[in-house]
Amino acid sequence: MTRARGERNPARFAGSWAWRGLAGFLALCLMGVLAPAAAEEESSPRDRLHMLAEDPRTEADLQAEIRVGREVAARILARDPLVEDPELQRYVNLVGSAVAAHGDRSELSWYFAVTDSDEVNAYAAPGGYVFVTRGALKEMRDEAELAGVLAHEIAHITRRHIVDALDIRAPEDSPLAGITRFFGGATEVARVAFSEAVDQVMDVLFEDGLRREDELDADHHGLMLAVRTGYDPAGLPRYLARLAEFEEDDKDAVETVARTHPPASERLEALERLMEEQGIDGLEQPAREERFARHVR
Amino acid sequence: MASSNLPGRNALPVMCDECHRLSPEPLRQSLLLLAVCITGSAMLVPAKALGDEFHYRDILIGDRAAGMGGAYTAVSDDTAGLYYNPAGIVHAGDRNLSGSVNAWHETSTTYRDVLGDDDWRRDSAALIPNFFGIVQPIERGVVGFSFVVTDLIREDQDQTFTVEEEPWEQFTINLNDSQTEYKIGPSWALELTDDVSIGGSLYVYFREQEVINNQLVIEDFGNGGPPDTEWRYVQDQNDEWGLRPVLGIMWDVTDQWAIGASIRGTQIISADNYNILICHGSSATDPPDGTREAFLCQEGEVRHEESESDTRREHPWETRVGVAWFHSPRWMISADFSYHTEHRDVVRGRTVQATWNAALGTEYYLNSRWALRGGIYTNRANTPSQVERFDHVNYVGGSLSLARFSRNSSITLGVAHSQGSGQGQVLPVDRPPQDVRASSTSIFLSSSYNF
Repeated sequence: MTRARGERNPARFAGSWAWRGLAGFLALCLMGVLAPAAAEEESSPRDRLHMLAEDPRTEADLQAEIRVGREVAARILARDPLVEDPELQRYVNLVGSAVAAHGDRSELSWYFAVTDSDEVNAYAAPGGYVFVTRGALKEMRDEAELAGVLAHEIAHITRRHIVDALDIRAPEDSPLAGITRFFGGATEVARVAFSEAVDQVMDVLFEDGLRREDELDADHHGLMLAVRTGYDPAGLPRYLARLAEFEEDDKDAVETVARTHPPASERLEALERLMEEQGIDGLEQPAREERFARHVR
Repeated sequence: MASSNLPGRNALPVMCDECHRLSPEPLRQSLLLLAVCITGSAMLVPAKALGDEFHYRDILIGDRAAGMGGAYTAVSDDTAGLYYNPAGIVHAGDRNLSGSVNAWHETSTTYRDVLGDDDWRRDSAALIPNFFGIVQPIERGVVGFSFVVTDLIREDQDQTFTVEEEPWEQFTINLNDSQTEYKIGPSWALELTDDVSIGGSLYVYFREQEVINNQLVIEDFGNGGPPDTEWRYVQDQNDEWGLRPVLGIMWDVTDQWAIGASIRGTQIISADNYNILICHGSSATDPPDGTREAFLCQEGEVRHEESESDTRREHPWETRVGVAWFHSPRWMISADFSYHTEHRDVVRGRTVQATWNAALGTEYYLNSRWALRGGIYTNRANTPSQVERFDHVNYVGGSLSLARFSRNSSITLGVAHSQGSGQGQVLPVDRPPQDVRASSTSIFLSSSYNF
């Protein structure tokens, strides 16, 4: 078939276009080869860069944390009601507030409560809600042990263990996010996400637990917090030693804590190492047995 | 739309997208041949549709995947993975994801020198809700649900050709081709080991196609009498639905290398094929000597024929294999190869040839907020290279997209363009095949959200 001068051969036209596409693709690959990789060194290559970026937490994120924590607290109290002893509740609140005041989340209002459960356990919901069971209080011998347990739970909150694990944040309110939600049909995302977050926190507290490292981190920071507040550093270790005995002799009493935490013996060893490293294993600070006995017994 | 009255004649109103005044013979004959051929020459030969049962990569699916030329089988770690390789969605992590894509899609096919020295061109353009998917981790594995539009044609062609000699003649070709192929269904994926996952999607497959073709020929001898008018109407409708399971496997060979594979097939459960022809003949295309090769209807003929059947077509099995190399969270590259088996299409009366496609894609993060994606891909025909009735055009395409990320969401703007050349047969089969040049362009806006 003959073609007029200047007329392009369709096959050649498509071919040249393909070569241009291939050249563009190779240019894009070259950019990748030259990519600086320092920022991503610690991550898996399959991760995506935008997911590794640190986003500063906003006031809206704080409010989201508190809202989720408040709802979780309501569910915990629906499961185990408060012990009807206002004096005991006031005392635990005073001890907890004193410890929390030495932490680094002054933006939170802290709430401490004793729940009416025989089980030996304590919980922390995001946003400043801390619970200790009547069964746990029964096994404590002094205020330093109570402060140590509360400090462990406070550390979960100040270190944002649950918040980070479940990525509890406010829905984005940027124009881009609004457009995305509109096109993606995700306008109900905020409501659904809130409900899911509450369910997930309950699962973490009563079923799955946090990561082992988070629990050991809470022990570490909790112990230091109790020491800064002025309590005997051996308070939490003494309590853990008793918990370890339960894990040996009466597993039912510590069923949830055993399921959701590393073994008490392992935590105890880690704390003893920490105290030695920090030089606080012989530190003499009050345990306040009498005051504890007056309010708890 | 253009409108014109033709002075000196019977002032017939003409409404057309394109109005052409062309030289006479052999144009008259070409127009008649074209008219007969695209409406189907008999009841058993359906009208020729523009799109595109002849290719398998007409529209790139997904957000990230479309920007990477569809090379996604070994990546598949977001909602688009539900379509490409459901085993990959285990890599979505513990996030709930939703993703959607809307695309402006247009195609153009030009048949060279069909109308004498002039080309004949067919166009389609439509806005497509291309994809929606959602992924959610559960206790055992990850579940998802997706809706995919894999092909869509909206052709509304309205052309009028005028032959300026005695007798004066006007040919009007009005062609409406509407086709949609979509899939909707749930998916589930499970991590078997740290490195191997499997997954499946069970799509319900729908295809709706309706081609309506009107041909009107007006012949005026200029003697003051009423013009001869010949009209032929053909409607061809094929609807079918069935199940299209997709099974996939993903193997993370190392931290940086992954291999993925998927297989899919379609089993048609129900089909409805309907055809109607109405023809009103006159002497306009039926000269007394009977030497014309083609005519719409014979003089004096009034035909009305309908046929209906529930004949179910076969569909090919498709196997995809992909490999991906993750250099770092900033850059990755992936490649896909797919093979489609040969099968018999009893409705179209053709053997659908086996064919293959390949794609190569990459993603590069400019920073933690912006990512650039690019890809090249093929879209090869499943028709014989020795053209008999259906076009044989192999496309080569490229895609490019830019994504902007915020904390929980991303929005992507991209373009995919493919083009190719080959041969077609819009004139009767005893004529030599015509050169064809075709192109397809999609501009897509996509978004994804994790929560």
